[in-house]
Amino acid sequence: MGKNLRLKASRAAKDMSQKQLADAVGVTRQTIIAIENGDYNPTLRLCIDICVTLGKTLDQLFWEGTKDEQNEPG
Amino acid sequence: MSRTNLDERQLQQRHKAGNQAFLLMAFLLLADMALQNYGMKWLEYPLSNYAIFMLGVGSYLVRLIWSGAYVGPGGAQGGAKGKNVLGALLAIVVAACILIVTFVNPTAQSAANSGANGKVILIISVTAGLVILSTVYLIRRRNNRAE
Repeated sequence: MGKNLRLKASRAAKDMSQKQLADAVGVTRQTIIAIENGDYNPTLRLCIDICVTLGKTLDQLFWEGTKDEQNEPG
Repeated sequence: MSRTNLDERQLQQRHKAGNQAFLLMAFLLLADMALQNYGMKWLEYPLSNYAIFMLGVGSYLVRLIWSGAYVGPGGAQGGAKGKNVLGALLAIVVAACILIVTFVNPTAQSAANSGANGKVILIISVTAGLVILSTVYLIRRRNNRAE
């Protein structure tokens, strides 16, 4: 599992620190770090909480498709 | 979030570390039994089991702290601080009792002459309590700092 740079970018775009995001979704800062570094695979529940907090969809933050799928327009 | 106030990653780490510590203890106890069966005594009976137990529990505790699964999120809330203060007060009271028993009324310890040194056990208990409190405090500080 690679690093989740999209999550990191979305968090930075919202001007949130790892601690603020962790508090918002009810986990520790270490858990957010682990998700961003690709060391932990979060449950769907936590993914949804993160998406709602950051105003993104699951696809935008967590979908790991092929390069072709990611480059598709729309 | 669960009743234990740990997040999902912490619970996962705890289960993993707990299972492995349990299997380690089971293996070591069986190995100890087998060794004693062949007449190899590395430690007397109750102490050997105690040492194995401490090894299992110690490894579990170290792994929990190492993986950040010892203290849950939301540690900076009032309830947790109250617990810390209560623990510190308890440790101070016990430490005062030890000092009184040791220096003010040294004859009081003669009641427990069963071989186990009560003072030493009390000191170890208080030290362990203080170490746990300090560890929790340090972990909370680490959890609550900015990036």
